[in-house]
Formats: sequence, C-alpha cells, structure tokens
Amino acid sequence: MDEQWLIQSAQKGDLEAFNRLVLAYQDMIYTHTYRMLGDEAEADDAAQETFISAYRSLSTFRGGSFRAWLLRIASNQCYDELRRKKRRPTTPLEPLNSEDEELESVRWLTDPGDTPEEAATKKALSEAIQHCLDELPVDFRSVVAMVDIQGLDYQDAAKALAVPVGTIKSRLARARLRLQDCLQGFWELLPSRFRLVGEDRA
Amino acid sequence: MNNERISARDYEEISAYLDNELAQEERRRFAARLQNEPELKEALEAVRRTRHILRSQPLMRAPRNYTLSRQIVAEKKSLFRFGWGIKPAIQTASALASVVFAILFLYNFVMFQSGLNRVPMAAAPAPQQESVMQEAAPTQAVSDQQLRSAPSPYPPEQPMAKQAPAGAAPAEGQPYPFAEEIGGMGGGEESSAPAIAEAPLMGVMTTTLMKPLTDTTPIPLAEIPAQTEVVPEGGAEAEALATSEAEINAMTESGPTPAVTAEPIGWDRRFWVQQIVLGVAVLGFAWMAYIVGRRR
Repeated sequence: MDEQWLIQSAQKGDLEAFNRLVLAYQDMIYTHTYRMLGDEAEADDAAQETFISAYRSLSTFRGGSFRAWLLRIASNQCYDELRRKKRRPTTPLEPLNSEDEELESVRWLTDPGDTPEEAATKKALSEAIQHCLDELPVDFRSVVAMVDIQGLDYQDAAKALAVPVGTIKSRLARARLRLQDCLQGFWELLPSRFRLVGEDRA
Repeated sequence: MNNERISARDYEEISAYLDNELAQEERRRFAARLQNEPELKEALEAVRRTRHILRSQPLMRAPRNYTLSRQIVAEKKSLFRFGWGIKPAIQTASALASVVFAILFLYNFVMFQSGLNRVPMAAAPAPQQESVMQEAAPTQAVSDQQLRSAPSPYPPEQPMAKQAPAGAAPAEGQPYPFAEEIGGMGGGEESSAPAIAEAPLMGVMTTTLMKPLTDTTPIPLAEIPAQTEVVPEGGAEAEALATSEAEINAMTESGPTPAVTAEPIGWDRRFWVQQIVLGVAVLGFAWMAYIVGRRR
C-alpha cells in the first residue's frame, strides 16, 4: 500500500494505517535500537517507545523520508536510554553455567533457516560487530548505524541526527577506521568471503 | 592496522568516495590519486572491506510486533495532553522570568555604574568649586581668604559635608553639588531647594552605594536646608561657616549615622538577591521546558 496514504491516514487518527507502518518498519527499528544499545531487552523497549512516540508526534511529520524520521525518534530513545544507563549502571544477569561461564543463547541455535554452522558464523560476526560498535563513542555509533547498517545517505543521516553533512562525513570516516582496527582482532573468526573481499577487488 | 601515512582528511575522502558522496570534480581528482598512490589504494580497500562487513548484516527480526492498541494510545494520550498543556506554560514562565531578569539586571547595572561615577565626582570638585566661588561671590572674598589661610580640618575630598555650607550661598545659578551627585535626578540646573527635597528619596540608595566606595560618612540631609536658611550675610558669614564646619566635623568624627546603620539590607543587596532568585527561576523553567520537550 502507498506509504504516503498510510501516513496521511494515520495523521487523521487511523490507528490501523499506523499499525501497517509499524509492521513495515519494526525490524528496521529494532535492528537500529539493538545496534545502538547492544541489549535485546533494552532494544525491545526502545523500539516500542519509538512507535508510541512516533504516533504521538505524527502531526509534526512534514514529509520527506519517513524512515529517516522514525530513525531519528529511535535514536533519541536510545540516547535517553544510554543516559539512564549511565546514571544507573546495572550488572547484566546473564544465565551462567556451573563454571560461571555464560550460557549460549538459544535464540541463534534454534533459528530454523540456518544450519548450525551458518548460525554460528552469523552469531560470531554479529557479536564481533556489536562488540566493536559498543566500543565506539555513541555519536560515532549512531552514524555507522544510520549509514552502514540502515543504508541511509549522508543527507538523510544528517537530518535524522540533526547535524551537518560534514559532521556525518568526518564521524563516519573515523568510525570506520576504528571499526577496522577493532575487527582485525576478529578477522580469523570471519568467514573467508569477508576476508577475501579486498583481494577479489584488488 | 591503519596506514599512518594516510591523513585523516584522506580517510574522509576514501569514505565519501566509497559512498559516492564526493562531488564530481573531487571524485575525478581522487580517482587520479588512486592511480598514482598505492598506499591510498590499499587504505581504500581496507575501508571497503570494513564497510562491506557492516553492510552485509541483515536486519534483525523484531522479537514481537510493536503495533499499538486503542488502550495504549488512550493511556499515552492523557499523558500527551498533560505534556502539551504544561509545556507552553513552562515556556511562558521561562520567557517572562528571562525578561524580568534582563530588565532588573540592566537597571542594577546602570545604578551600579552611576554609583561608580559618583566617586570621582565627589572627590574632584573641591578646587573647581573654589574658583567658582571666587568668581561668583566677590562679597565673600575676604572670608574665603580667611578660611583658606586658616588650616582646614577637612581633607579636600569631603563630598557633601564640605560642599553643603559652601554651596548653599552661591545658589545663584549654580547647581547644588549633591543634586548633581544623585545622577541628575534632582535637576542639576535648578536651585538647591528641589534638589534637597528629592535628596532624601535617593539618600538611602546613594549612601548604600557610596558606602563601600568612600570612607566619607554622609550627613543627614535634613541638616542641610537648616544651615542654608541661617546663613548670615556679610562678615557674619565666616562665623557661620566656621560654626557649620565645626558641627560637620563633629558629625564626621562621630562615625556613621544611625540612619545608615539602621538600614538592614541595602537596595543593591536586594537587587542582587532578586537577580539570583530570577536567574535560578529562569534556569529552572528552561530545564523543565527542556525535559517536557524531550518527553514528547
């Protein structure tokens, strides 16, 4: 269905039209909040709050990229959550085995679409990326999440983060450089197709 | 590892080149550099690999649907209304407090400046007034000379205490010295009587402003008109002057007058207290408006 029509209907109070938009964007928003926060439960809450905030302030949407507008709300939710975490640091209660080692998450092992080997590869890569993203300052992380993970161009990312395009450009370059250094430590864990990208193109 | 011979600016260009965010001319120039600089090309490939890894990540699946129900919307709507109702109120209060703060600050600043300006005015005019008196009142020449020849008990920068009796006689077109010191509020060109009539209004303010700046103890202004009325003419004037100087001397030696010490809080201090309170109010309202705005 046409996105503009759904937005206009939602602005007139059509909750069903808004829920169609929610279904279309919820994976994207959840991915963004997860990459920003690095925690599934927090990402889940932030995603829900994002859609509630979006519905409440739908009248302020004046056209343009709806995806960038949603990502901006999601980013603000994440910033708020990160500030809260900073004020009240908590210790994660991960399930541990008898030797105090973290238990494997069943989420990845029960994915019906992947073989165990593929699931393990995806998990290793995703965790390596998340680990490196967590190491970044939050301003850098948000730019990488917008441009490299969500695929926004510089203009939309600048609008979504309310910063100039030049800032996006410099933050992204520096963030990629840091990620490159960080991912070097995980290079052997990555599948060969990632390691050989550079050689193939050279 | 990063190539340390590649500058941060080069990395920005590499990144923008990969994202196709360089202008046409910049892109052409950068492509030419890539042909000639193998290190730059190596750095570009490293960034390309990192970028590819990041972009190869699929979207994660949301653990549940985030669709909204009528109940959730209704709950949030009441909060929403509260937020919208209180936000303009807080913003208006913040703006009003800012305006009052600015006005009060400016007023206090001007008053403080005028207080500073009075210090040199009070200290300087002694010689000037002596020459004016010589020209304007020839009948007093003898008595002035007598006064000058006698050792004066006052330092030259006695502001009101010395000027009051001296300036009382030459009321012929000369502004009353204290009227000028009040910042012109008493009308500098008028006779001394209206100036003195207004002086008590400003007296508390002036004395409190002047107090930390000069060591001169002000005299009660009610004394001044009384002295001007009893100023005798001719030769008796010198005696009257000597008498009034003796009185004033006694007053200055006796220390601060009860009228000054009885003032519990000076106007300047009240202004500062008001400014601090308003400043805190401005910051508080602004912070509340910011919090309410962020929760939208």
